[in-house]
Amino acid sequence: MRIIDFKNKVNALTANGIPFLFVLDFELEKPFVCRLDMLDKNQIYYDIKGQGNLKSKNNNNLSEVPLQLNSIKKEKYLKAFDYVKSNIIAGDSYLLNLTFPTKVKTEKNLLEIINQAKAKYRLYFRNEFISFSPESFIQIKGDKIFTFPMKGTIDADLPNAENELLNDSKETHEHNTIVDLMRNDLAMIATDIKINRFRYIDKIKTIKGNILQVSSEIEGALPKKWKMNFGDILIKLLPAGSISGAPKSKTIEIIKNAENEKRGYYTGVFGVFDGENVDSAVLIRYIENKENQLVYRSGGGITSQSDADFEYDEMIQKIYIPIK
Amino acid sequence: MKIILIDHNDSFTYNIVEVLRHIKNCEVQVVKYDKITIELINRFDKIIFSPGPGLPTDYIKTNKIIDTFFRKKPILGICLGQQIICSYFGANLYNMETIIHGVKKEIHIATKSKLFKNVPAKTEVGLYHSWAVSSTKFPKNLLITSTGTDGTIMSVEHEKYPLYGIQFHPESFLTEYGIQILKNFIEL
Repeated sequence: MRIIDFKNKVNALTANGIPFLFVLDFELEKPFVCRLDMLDKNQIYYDIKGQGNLKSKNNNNLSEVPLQLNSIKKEKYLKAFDYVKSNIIAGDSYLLNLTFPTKVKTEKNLLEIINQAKAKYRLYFRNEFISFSPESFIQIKGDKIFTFPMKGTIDADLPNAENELLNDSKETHEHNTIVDLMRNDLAMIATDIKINRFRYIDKIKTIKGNILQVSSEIEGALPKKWKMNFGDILIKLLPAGSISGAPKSKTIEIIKNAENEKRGYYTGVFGVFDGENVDSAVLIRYIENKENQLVYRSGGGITSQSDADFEYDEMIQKIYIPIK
Repeated sequence: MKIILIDHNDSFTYNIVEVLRHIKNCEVQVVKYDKITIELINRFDKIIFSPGPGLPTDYIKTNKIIDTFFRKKPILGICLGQQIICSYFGANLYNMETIIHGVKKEIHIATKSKLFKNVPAKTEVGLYHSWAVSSTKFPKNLLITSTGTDGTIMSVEHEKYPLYGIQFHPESFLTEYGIQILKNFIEL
């Protein structure tokens, strides 16, 4: 489907109040939209905060099936990292989300993993990929639009983890940047932009232990007739700020050179229009099936204050399956 | 009041737009740097240069805009916008030792400037920059109106014409009096 056809179809479905699910890739080359009543037939299962056609089964204990990782070699990561850093110093980017694939091995298949994973947003997309994402992209309730950029992660079991995370200068500056970026993005399609919550913390349980994640909530007022052109609104907001960076267009160029590989649906978005409102997620915490090899994609925000070893470790730390 | 906001491929441009939307009798149009023409600018009362990636040398057309309009129309340059204005008058830029992106810092407003009406002499601002304007060989026609605590040039204006540059980001939620500063420019 071409992006223009996607827009038209989404505009029409939303305008007519017909519930549907949408999935968009990072490059906006493979947009997908499907009416909710056609999902099963297309082997697409989702769960957004308990709603959807994906049902959890918590029979097995996933913690007994650790993932074996084969991450990108450090030298290769360092090369990309240094390239990104030099662009930040040159003034071409303030914040850039650098990601890489890690080959993983497990006895489970994608459907089994997604069935056991616990997350606010879960998606099984045929046998191509799954995502169990903690990160909201946008929500629309009535004529209000909300976004929840997430930046900042720490091992919850470290002493004083919450204070460490909130007082860390790199995390603070990075979060400031993402808030300004997302205020800007909402202002492209809405007015009366407000920051409702600044740097609130969510605790997430994983196989490897607990982690804390920091988010903010930003709100805007959409035009009353937003349902007539929801497709256009959606595309204007993409790629999401939290997984690209700022300034967005130049930063995306740098990402493409640094990663040297398409991201595909990873760091794209998926969401549901239920006939009235919209809820959607950024496709992170993501495993894809690449010629029968499972690949877990992860990454983090690079700023002028980033340390290469720390970022490399954080990228690997984010390879987990949330279980409770 | 019709404002043209020249967008240097930035991602904070609409934060400026959002502030201007709430100012009475102010209409703003965003025009991408690539699409800008002198004829188009003629139709507007005031000009704002957005922040953006890169260096003044990447935006030759913006130099031409200064050349054509600084004696005729009020201009405000933000971040990169200030750097373009300063370079136009012959100032040098330097790559900072410590880059500050997403940082809140205090500035000191030294001179009475219309741009800082109703803004306290010490105020916190949001900063996103890896380059700054050098105070050595600083152009004679420009005045430095505020500095950071380390002496970094934070705002400039022309001695005679309504041409203003600010290094910090008035549109950032980090800037205490950002809305006031933009309002001051609109109400000049």
